[in-house]
Formats: sequence, structure tokens, C-alpha cells
Amino acid sequence: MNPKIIATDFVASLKNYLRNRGTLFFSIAFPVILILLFGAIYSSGGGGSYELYVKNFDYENGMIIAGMMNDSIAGNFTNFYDAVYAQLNGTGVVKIRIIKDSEVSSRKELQDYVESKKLKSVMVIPENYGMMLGLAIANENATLAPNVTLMLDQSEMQRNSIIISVISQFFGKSNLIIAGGENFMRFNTTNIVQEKFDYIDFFVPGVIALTVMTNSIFGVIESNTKFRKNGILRKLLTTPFTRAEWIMAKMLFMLFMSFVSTFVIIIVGMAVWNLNVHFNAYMFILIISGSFAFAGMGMIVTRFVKDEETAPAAANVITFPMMFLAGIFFPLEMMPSFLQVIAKFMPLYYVGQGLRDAMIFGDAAGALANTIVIFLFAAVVFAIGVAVTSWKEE
Amino acid sequence: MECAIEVENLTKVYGDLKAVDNISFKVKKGEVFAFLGPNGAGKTTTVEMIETIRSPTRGRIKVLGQDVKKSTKEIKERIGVLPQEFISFERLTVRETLKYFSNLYKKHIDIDEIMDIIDLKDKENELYMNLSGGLKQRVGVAIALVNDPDIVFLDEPTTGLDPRARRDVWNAIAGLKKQGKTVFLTTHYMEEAEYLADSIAIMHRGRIVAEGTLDELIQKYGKRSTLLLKGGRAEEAAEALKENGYDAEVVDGDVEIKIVKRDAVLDILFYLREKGISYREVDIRHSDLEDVFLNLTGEKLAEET
Repeated sequence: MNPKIIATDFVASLKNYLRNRGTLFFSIAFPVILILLFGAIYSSGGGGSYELYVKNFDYENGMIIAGMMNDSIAGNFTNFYDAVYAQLNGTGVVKIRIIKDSEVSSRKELQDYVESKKLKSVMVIPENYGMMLGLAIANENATLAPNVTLMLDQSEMQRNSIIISVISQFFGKSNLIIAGGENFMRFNTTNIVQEKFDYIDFFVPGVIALTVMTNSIFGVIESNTKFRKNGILRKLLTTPFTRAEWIMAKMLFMLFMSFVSTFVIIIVGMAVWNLNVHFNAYMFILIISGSFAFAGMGMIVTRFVKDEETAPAAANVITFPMMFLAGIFFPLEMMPSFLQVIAKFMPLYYVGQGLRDAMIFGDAAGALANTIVIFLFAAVVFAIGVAVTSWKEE
Repeated sequence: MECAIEVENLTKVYGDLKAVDNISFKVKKGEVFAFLGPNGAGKTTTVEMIETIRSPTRGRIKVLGQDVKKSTKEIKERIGVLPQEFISFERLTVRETLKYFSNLYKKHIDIDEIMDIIDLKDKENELYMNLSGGLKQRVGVAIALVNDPDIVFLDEPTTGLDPRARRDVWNAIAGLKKQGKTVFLTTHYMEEAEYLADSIAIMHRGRIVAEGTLDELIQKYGKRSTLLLKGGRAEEAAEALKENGYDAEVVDGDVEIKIVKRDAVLDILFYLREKGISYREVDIRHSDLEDVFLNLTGEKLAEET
């Protein structure tokens, strides 16, 4: 192989590409638009009320406290805490969800529970809270009262500020009634540090996989059919350009394109949707394998459908079902089980899933499994594609 | 003289179709060789076998003394090809296009020199897609020259061009011959062959039906020149000429007389004046390749040119 020839063809492809607004749009702008659009559709979770989970380690004592409190706080409730919940629900801003003792009975369990359920805001009332509060009031010493803890997911700034203001108002009002405004009822906040996955986290790796697929399949189809029709292939056959050099040049360009698209998509995802990406080797192997696999499919398509107009249509027959059924736009779990089985036969599924595991979830085992599948598939399909790509007229 | 191309018993079969049927011919170094025939005669199939990009079913081809099967790589370095209906990379400029193809070869000549020869210098920074049809074909010819080839193959280089653009491409091709290059020209335009070619092979249905220089072909297969008398009393004139031993007949109200010797024209005109037979005008028609082809195959070369 002559590197100079490969470099020459690569540069020509690049110039041809950069000067074509159509391809520029579809390979760069289109995925970006997809991300902005779908991200916007699915991230509009605002409005309405916020769920505030409550873990109360002192609920049983609420009845005793209710007896000690005056009616303006406990109202008709026999349990002080029920009164608190009702007041908070009454704001219409938060919705109280009780974490039962049967689900969580210790602080350790609470931590696991919050992580596994991906809870965003939890109010924790400590053991003997009521007694200590009563003691503080009786001694007129606010420091004796313990803190209520608000566990808040730091990435939800808007939600957090609303919840904090509701609780502050409620505690402020209560303190006014109990002791003329002194801070007997207080709260502190702690962070819930957990990775949470939004739709955009799911979607961005999918769009990368989709872009790699369309760039590679249609890139190969264009160079094989258009160049054949234009006589460029026939011309190149008469030059010292070899088949291996030709395929190498085209693949290098396709890989370059795949990485440029990936880069742009990730940058937009990070800038607009606060996407958090892990960069690792799996990601690169998946993108490279995906490019080879789909390029191989393109070669096979153009072996049988040589016409410039019908070849892309034939490729659409392959890419369209994958686009919608391989779990790119919607999680596979949302689909009926027979479609989930079908998805497992689609290479795009493994690229998308693998990228998700590698880039977002940091799931090395999942990434490895998907990488192996797509790598083997790429090796076979690309080898067939190369074998059926003729470098001679018939 | 040494041969640039030698073809022996070349055959290409597709299923039941013999696209090329046992043809043999030679192309001398430094000449413009025209491969003339209607569309579908097997010209391009033959040329592509010579260019090493199509495998023959049978037969032997030598290009510059080397066998095409064995020395594919060496031959590719020494030939320059403009394929039929060639359209280059749309979004490269003329200069970039020439540079691209130039980089594919071990040997190359200065791109500016080529642009001077083909007269492309003032278009060097134009994108290929924005060029006119004639300019595109000239770029195609220029591309065929980037490796300073010994043989230049031009497959239907002027198809679809207007007469002016065709003339420009012809001039470019004529320039190649001056540079001492062997030019293998495939065409279905007889004027093209007449204007450019040193020798001509006529191909019809996979076979070469005639071969030689233009003069040789016309002498051998063309009709004799014809004297035409238009207007006047055609029947009477024809009768009188036949009596005097001339081969005359009335066609569409005109008298057509086959001319055997050149000075017969004067004799005929004197004879008619003696007889007092008048006519409105006189015309002499020479035979051309179209006649040669019609004569050889019973078919017209092209519906329109």
C-alpha cells in the first residue's frame, strides 16, 4: 500500500465533503438537531408538584408530641407528624411520600434505598426528634433540638430551591407559633450523590450509533454507486490505485467522519443537556467496529444493487427498521417482547447499547459484551464486503 | 515501425453474447488510431480489455510490448485513460483534480504544463461541477496526461458536446499527436475519425469489418464520387449521357452520374453543352466514412451526428 495515494484520496474526500452543504447537514447538523429536539421534548418535566420522600424515625412518638403541642400546630391530628405531612401537602408544591419502616428501618438501609430508587429529595426526621424538641422548648434552649435533614440531589437546582423554600416557610411559621420565632425547628441539607440518568443520557449514545451507521452505509454506497456511474471507478481501475488502497482510504475517511460526528454530538450534549460522558477504550472500539460493520453492509448492498438511485433505497430498507427497533429513540423495555427479541438481531442495538454502557453508565462488563458482539460481526461483514467489492470490470 | 498495441484473436463472451468476436489488429507508435463503430459494437469492451481492467475470454493483448495479464501494474503506469461518460469529482477544482490523479502515479509531469497544453490555465481554480461540458471533457483529457503516458485512450471523448466544444476537444487531441503520444480514440462519429485519425478500424457487432487509413478505406469501400445535375430536363439529360456510355440515373428529379476518372467531369459538362441540354446547378459529392460504413454493414453509423 502506498500511503501517499491513500492520503491523496482522503484529502480529496474531505474537500468534497466540506464543500457539500447537503452531506455536511446530514452528518453533523442533523444529529445535533435530533439531540436538541428530543432532549427538549423529554426534559420538560417542570411544573406541578415535587415528590418529597420522608423517612421518619420518630413516627410512633408523634402521638405523645401531639398531646404536648397546642392545637394550632397539631390541629385535629392525633399524631404530630401527620399534621406536619398534611400542612406540607397543603402547600400544593410538595407531595409527601412516606418511606415505610418495612422498607427502611435504619440509616444504612436508607442510603441504599435512596440510591436504588434514584430519589431526588428526602426529608429525614431523626429518632426521638419530638422528645428533644419538646425538651428544648421547655428549657427555652433551641440548641437542644436536633436538625431535620433534607437530602437533596444537587443536580436538581430548581427543584431543590423550591423544596427548601417550602420547608423553610413551614418551619418558620411553626417556630413563630411555638416560641415567638426562635429557631427550635431547624433543618440542614445533605447531598444525594448519585448518578441519575435522563432521557438524554439514553439518547446521545443512540444518536452517535445512528450517525455512525448512516455515515458508513451511505458513505460506501455513494462512493461505490456514484463513482461507478460517473466513471471515476473505471478511471481509477486504469491507474496504479489498488483495491486495498481504495478501501483503506475510504475507511479512514469514514472513521474520521464518525469521530467528528461523535465529538460534535458529545459537545452539544454536554453544553446543552449537561451530559456526563466517560471516555474509554470501549467507546473507540465500538465506533470503529460499528463503522467497519456498516461499511461492510454498504459494500454488500452495492454488490447487488448497483444503481445510484436504488442503492440508497435498498440501504434504507436495512437502516430504517434498525433506527426504530434497535432501541435508539426509545428504551427497549418500552417495546413488546417480540420486538425486543428482534432488536437483539440488529447490529445497531449492540453499538447503541455498548456506547451507553461505556460512555454513560460506566458499566465495563456490559460495554465489553457489546463490544465483542459488534467486533466479531464487523470482522465477518467487512470481510464479506471486501470480498464482493470487485476491482475489475466484468 | 514498432507497435504500441498488438491484439490477437481477442474474444469476450457474456453468456450467449459474443461482445467481441475474435478480433486482431495493431496500433503503431505515435499514431492516432480510431476505433469507429456504432454504439454497442463492442468498442468499449475491447478498449477496457486493452486497458487491463477487463479480462478477455480468449486472445492475447500486448501493450508496449508487455502482456496485459502479466504486467498489469507496469502498463497502468504507462497509459492514460479517459473513460466513456467520465465525470470527475464534482467539488474539486481543476488543479486539485489534476493533482489528485497525478499523485496516483510514480511518474508525473508538471500540472501547469498540462494545463497549458489543454488550455485550462484560466480555469484552474474553478470547481469541476461548475465547468461546461466541453471543459469537463478537456479536464478529462488532461487527467489522462498526468503520468506522461505513452498511450492515451480516449473513449467517446466528444459525445454530447456541441460542435464548438467538440472542435476544442479535437484540437486538444491533435496536440497529443504532436507530442508524439500514441492515441487510441474510440468514437461513433465519423467526422471525428476523419479529422483526427491516421488509421481507422471499423467495428461492427463484435468484429472488425475494415481497417486502414481514411483514403484506403474510402478507395476500397466507398462509393465513387458522384456528379449531380440539379434542375432542367433530367430524363433527357440522363438518356443522352447513357447513350454516351456514362453511368447515369435520375434520383429525386436530379441526375446522378458516377465518376470514374477525375477529368470525366469536364467531358460530361462539355458534352451536355454540345447537346444543348441545360441545368440549374452542378454539384460533386465525394464518398466519406459514412458511405464506407453503409457499404460494409448495410447500416447507418449513427442516427444523428
